[in-house]
Amino acid sequence: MRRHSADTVAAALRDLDPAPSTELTQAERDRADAAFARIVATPCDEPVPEVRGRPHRRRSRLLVAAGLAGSVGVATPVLLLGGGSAYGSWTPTPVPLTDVVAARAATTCRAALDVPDRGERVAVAERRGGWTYVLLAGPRTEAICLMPDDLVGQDPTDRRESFGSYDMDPAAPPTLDPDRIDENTNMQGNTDEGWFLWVEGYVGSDVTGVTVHTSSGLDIEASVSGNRFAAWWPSSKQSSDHPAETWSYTVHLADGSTRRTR
Amino acid sequence: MDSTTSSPREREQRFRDVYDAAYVDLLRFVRRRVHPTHAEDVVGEVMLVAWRRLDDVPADLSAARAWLFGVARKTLQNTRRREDRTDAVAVRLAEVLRGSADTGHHPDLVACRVDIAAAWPLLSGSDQEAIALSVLDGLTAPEAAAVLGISPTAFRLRLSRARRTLRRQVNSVTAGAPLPGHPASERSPR
Repeated sequence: MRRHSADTVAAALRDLDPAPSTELTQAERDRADAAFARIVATPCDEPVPEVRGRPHRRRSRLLVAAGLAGSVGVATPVLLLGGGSAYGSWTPTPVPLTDVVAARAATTCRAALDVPDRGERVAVAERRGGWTYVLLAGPRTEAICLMPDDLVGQDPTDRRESFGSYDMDPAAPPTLDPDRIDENTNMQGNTDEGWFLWVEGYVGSDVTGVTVHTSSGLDIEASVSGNRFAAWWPSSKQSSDHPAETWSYTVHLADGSTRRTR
Repeated sequence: MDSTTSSPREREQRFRDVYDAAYVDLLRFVRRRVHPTHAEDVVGEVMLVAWRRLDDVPADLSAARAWLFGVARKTLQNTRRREDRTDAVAVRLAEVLRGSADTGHHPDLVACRVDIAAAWPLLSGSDQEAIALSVLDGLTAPEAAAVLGISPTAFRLRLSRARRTLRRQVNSVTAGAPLPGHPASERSPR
């Protein structure tokens, strides 16, 4: 077995750069100049096309997943994937947070992610066992945090166990038929408690509830608040033994009917 | 918003400054991630965004470069087929050149290149991206974090993990037992 030093690895990587440092050829320079001329000839106050457009499903970003220093209160252990004890207090049914607690969770989330307060509203705030989830939504920023309950209201710079993601360029909410939902992001991440998956998205005006059915056999009641839904659940690291987990939804409508969706 | 440009002439001059300062680096950034024949088109799209959102482009040229990289990354994500959509944008490496191209290079470096070339495809797109932003694109942690839309702390964590994974994969490769590549924190959209 050969072992390489960090410096050698870095040097080898740079050697393998498919776009090494170089000057533009004359032809490339000509094309660059032509592109510049075309660009500045366009109006600069038109909406930007599609770059900020909405994918139907886009995945979010693991932001912080540091070690869990403190103990998390474990309530009712449930059988989790693989028989592990990860997120032992997790519950398939969420408990909504009060406005006061939700605001505190939002403050902690912003601080943990170092995201300025741009007037985002708390779109979803829930608790599952010992874990608090908050989704902040605004036209300029969306942020999601999952944190131990005992971190809510605390200074996250002192404790490193929160994790989440944010998008400083969120797409506009989709226009949905009343009985439809649209999954906006899904993400897999991990902490010392284990792996998890979360999903969130938008709901139509007639949607009163969303249930997530996972390929691992969980039925999870999502939080539905306003035009958003969100849920998370303990998962397993993707591997040859644990291929990508899949899930589907049951959408509950105001007239009492349900609709199954992939 | 870091600066606001008033007159059309000032606006065009500011865009010219950004364009000239960042074009080559942006082209290289894109070429690492798409087929070279598509790279200039992507750069054109990104620069069009910069022109139309010039007031959002950071005044500092280094920060502006990172901002452009972030737009490019999002452009590449959005132009993918839906089935292929993942958060990370995978990065390719050059083919390993053998024979005369290695003449004069230290044998350890040559061996390391071969090992990395074999291990690289086994990394997740997220790991490739973190390493490439740091080593190939030459970004600082705050700049790379801005490209990915995460905090510098989170990027450092991600980079540290990616480097560990690369080392592990390289060692596996050199031990003659290549591992199947399974992205750690990536999964295919349904």
